[in-house]
Amino acid sequence: MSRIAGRIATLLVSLAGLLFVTFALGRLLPVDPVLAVVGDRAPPDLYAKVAHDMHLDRPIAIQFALYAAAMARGDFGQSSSTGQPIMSDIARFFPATLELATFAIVIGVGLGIPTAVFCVRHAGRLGDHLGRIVSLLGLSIPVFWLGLVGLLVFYAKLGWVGGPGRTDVAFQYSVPVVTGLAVVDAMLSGDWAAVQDALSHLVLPGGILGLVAFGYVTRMTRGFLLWQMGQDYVTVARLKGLSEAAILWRHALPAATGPVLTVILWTYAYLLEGAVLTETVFAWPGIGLYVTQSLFAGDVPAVLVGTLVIGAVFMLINQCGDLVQAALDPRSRAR
Amino acid sequence: MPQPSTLTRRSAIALAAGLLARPGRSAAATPPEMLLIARNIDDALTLDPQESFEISNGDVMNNLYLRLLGRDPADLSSPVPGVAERWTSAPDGRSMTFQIASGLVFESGRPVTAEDAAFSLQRGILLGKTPSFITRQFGWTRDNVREMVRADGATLVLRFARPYAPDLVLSAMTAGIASIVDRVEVMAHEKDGDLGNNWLRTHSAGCGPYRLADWRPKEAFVLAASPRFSGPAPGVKQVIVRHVPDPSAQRLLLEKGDVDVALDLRPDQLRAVASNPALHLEPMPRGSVFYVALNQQHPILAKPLVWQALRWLIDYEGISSNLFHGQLRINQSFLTEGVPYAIQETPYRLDVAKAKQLLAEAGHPDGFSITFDAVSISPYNDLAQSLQASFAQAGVKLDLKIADISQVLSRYRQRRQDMIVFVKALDYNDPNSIADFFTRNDDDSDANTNRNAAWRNHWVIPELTQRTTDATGEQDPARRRAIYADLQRKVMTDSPLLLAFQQIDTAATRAGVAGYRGGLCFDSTYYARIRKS
Repeated sequence: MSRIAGRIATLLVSLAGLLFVTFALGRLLPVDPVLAVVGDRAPPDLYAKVAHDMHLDRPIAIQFALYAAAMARGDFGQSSSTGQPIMSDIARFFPATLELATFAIVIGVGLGIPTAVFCVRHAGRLGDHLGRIVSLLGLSIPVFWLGLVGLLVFYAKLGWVGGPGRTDVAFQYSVPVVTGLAVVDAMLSGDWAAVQDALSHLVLPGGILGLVAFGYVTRMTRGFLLWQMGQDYVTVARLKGLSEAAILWRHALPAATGPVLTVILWTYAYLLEGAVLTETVFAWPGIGLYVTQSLFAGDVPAVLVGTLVIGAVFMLINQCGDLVQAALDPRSRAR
Repeated sequence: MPQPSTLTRRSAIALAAGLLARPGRSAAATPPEMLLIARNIDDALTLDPQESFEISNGDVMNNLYLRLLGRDPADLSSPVPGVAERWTSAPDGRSMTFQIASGLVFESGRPVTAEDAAFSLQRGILLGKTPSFITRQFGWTRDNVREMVRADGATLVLRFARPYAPDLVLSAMTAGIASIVDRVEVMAHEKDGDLGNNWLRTHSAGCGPYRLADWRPKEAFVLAASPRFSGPAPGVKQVIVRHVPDPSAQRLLLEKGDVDVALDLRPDQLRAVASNPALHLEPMPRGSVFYVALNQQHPILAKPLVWQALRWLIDYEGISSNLFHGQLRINQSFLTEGVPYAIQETPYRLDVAKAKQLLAEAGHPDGFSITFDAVSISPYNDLAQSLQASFAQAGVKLDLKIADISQVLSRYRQRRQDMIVFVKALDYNDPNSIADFFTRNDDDSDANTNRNAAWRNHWVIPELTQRTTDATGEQDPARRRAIYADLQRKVMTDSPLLLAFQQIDTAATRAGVAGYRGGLCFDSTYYARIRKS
């Protein structure tokens, strides 16, 4: 119990630190935040009123105190680039990223772990080299380029997948928004064509991000497994006559679960930050696009809350990872 | 561990293929009663017509509301009836009377009255949001606007603090801030004295051809034809403006037929699709002008001979033809073709020898080095690089400071730049919309709240400022024309503001889309006139 309390305390301290850093960054930007709200041609009294409402006429320490107090009250403010409460923006944009990231991580893990096992099974031989090259490609090809080429080939030329956007317009307004996840909402609506459409839009951006996840997961898992394969218990298992496949799947992989799980969770957290370039190319209204566009529009409050939410998600996943690892591995509980 | 049977594996593959196969996609087309527009709409902030001033939802506003007066895209020369059907100006130029058209109905079903018109114009001043500068110029304030703008039966009477040129007033009444809103509906949603502002930001209450069906910021606008619209029924029942930030994605969607119109294609992409018979390119010349400004605080840039030299160092022809393929048109006066009283003179071209000679006379035979601010997106960054290359031919070294627009604008408004390339858009179709920006500097101190181009560059011009004011009150069109001709020639030939190009936007549409047009202002497309075949 006290361990969970300790974790919550760690989480809160980290969040407070994040709050301060995001605020400081927001104030360091060489941008006039009032201009973002009122535009270039605003009458001077409107300019002064908005500056006052944003507390910009107060000392910076007071500004931070007011900001932190508002956050503690749950008042996240209004975005100056959408005119909406920031929380309702985030509630609208985050599910899009969640859907993309979840699809990508399923692809990444589903392909990455078997590929890693295959590489280790053929360590140092052609199969291993091929697996490593493919995973390196996933890591190193720029996603915006892959996205554009993917669209050109699979959408424009072959017509296998849907184009930019989360659904075709025909379904955009016929499927009621329940969870904000297009595929799930389509399933809930019972419209099979809508499910097909949502999947056809998800598969390309999700697949491309999945390739990135695949790259990380494969390379890291391969490393962990190779280390395990050099351990004494593997030698013992070989002496006992177990097949290499059985050793890999039933002994080495379970033993490497802790670090592999950590890599998977970190990759998932990274994907949940929102992939700005993928979201831009695919007109995917996700959190990465939201924060980036807010940043370019000088919409500091939205950037701060967006960063805070991403940071909080990251920390939560991290803590979940620790808890799961503790459950799986008795050694980590002692730490 | 049991292995999945071949049969199940096959079924899984078949299922996945079935899910992803998209029969008929190659023949994709949008429904005939729907117009789908791809556009970057990330700057859209509010749909309250007395507040909205963002480019990307300007067209949407133009279709949700009728304004006091309208514009005919086919003939931009004079205003056409909007909510008002007739108007007369008092001989002394101090008031104007508008007859409100009968038979107009708001989307709520209420008839449009002169009270609604008066309320809407008063509301612009009382809210005091960004576009209110357009109507504040008539001397209207929060304290006097209820006196100056009054309904009288079926007429609307506007009074002014001093005489104003009738065509200036009429043009201002074609601007978005003169959109007529449903007084009863808006006031029913008033909270804390906000005149319904908070509600109207996300709703519509007009008498235009369309009503707002849905708006999801950074996702889409959905407009549905208003059943109560009194004019001819719109050719498309539904208009969706979908947020597609990437121009390459816009092009793919358009070529594929998944959208009808793409509005943000880059010059190279427009050139690439120009030969596609399934598409049509509609140029929309705007009243926006790109200019290079020289801050007079800098001792070198304050020399008139340097102003002259730099004018001869811009590669007008190369930029217009080769770099932008006609998306920027050479325009050396501050008014563009189509704006009343514009002069069409282009005396300058790239002439390095002449520039060198002028620089030598100014005491800089080997040129000089200077910082140059530009926004990090096209056309600003491309213009900056082209200027850097051509200026270098005379030894003028530009140290480019490329940054995001919010940073560049912040610096410019604080007058911290040396040299900059920037744009001025036409807010309403009257020469004063632009002249007020270039030839007025009432007070060069930091206390001045009118931070226009002359002020931002410390260009102190009491005489031109007076002439600019005179032009707004001039009742005789011939004399008004003469004043603006003088002002344009003065800025063109003898000022630190180097006017260079007019912006030509291009709408790329499917060939079956007819009637997509745009006027000089950013909010001048009428969706109701569009037909699809």
